[in-house]
Amino acid sequence: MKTNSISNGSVSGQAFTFSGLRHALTIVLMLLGVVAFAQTSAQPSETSYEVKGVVLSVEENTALTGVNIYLKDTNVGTFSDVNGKFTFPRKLKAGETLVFSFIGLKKQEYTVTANMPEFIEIRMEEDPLNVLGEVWMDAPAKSKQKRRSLNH
Amino acid sequence: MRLLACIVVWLAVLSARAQVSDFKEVNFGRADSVARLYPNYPLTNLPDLAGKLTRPFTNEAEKFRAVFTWVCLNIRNDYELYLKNKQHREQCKTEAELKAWYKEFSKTLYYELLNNHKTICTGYAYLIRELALASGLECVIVDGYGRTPGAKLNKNLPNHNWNAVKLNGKWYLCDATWASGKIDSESKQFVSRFNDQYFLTDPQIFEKNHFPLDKKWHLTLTNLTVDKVLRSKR
Repeated sequence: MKTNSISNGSVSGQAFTFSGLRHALTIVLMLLGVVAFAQTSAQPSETSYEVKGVVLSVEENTALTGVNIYLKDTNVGTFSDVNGKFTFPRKLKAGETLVFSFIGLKKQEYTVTANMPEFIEIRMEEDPLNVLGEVWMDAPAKSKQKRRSLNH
Repeated sequence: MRLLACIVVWLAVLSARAQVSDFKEVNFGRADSVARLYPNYPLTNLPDLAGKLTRPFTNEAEKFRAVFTWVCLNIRNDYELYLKNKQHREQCKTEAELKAWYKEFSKTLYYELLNNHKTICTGYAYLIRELALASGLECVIVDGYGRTPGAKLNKNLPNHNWNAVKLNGKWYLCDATWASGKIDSESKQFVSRFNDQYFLTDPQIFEKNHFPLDKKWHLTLTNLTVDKVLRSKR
């Protein structure tokens, strides 16, 4: 703006009104900012919860040890202990999801809510597979010999 | 008009033939090196293992290659397990008996995989799927028939599992079991030998010895049916 006012008087008048507008705009924006800030601070801070519980088998109703428990899409996690119990190492907010997984068991998710029980029970189901299996083995040498001897 | 139809079909065939040559610019040596950093890593925490193998990469093909190579190098195919399962399956007379056997044998399969790093094809395919899913890749187990020099194909008794994986929005095929090595016909011992010709194989080559129960996993415009395959000579 300064360069404008020095170089040309008639432009400087325009520049003045323009910069006045700019000031007004800045003030409005600042006020908006204050209002927004006031709103966020007025809201109660989001509570986080300690998540504790036990992992059990659906089939046998026994404790499942060593189940991987992690916060979805992160590598923050823990295991269930010998009694199937766990306490998640980080406090969690409502809406965050825990994933329970272990080889041979169907994956389970649990989403934290404000009114969840203090001690949660996760029941995991076995994941049976259609067990097929073919090994790559060259045809045994024996049968080749047989075929050859038959040809003789 | 006929010419147009021909071109459309030809393009469809071309696009269906998704294969490793789609990734010519990718050097899989890096993914193989990462896979070699974790020999005998325990399977007690698959999300952790998947992260170690795939976090160094942004490219989906490289992520999947690290998983594939790790599984092939670290899991052994077990002839005794294979034989036990084969004999039991052949004795099952009804579908219900077969289901019950699968349920029982799945436990053995998971136990052996977890504790001894050994399995049969279903275990390979399962592990590939779980590690791929944990790495954010879409992956399925395919049931079907696998033709080997030694196998007799038996109708109603599919004998093999492999995987289909979606990379950059396109499906590809792979077989970790056969890529990991083979069973020596004399000693019946597993001989580990990584062979990447079963990694993202051209579907037209793959279907020479892999016949999925669900036709869509051919990924080709084949008119092969399971019946045709079983009738045809080797």
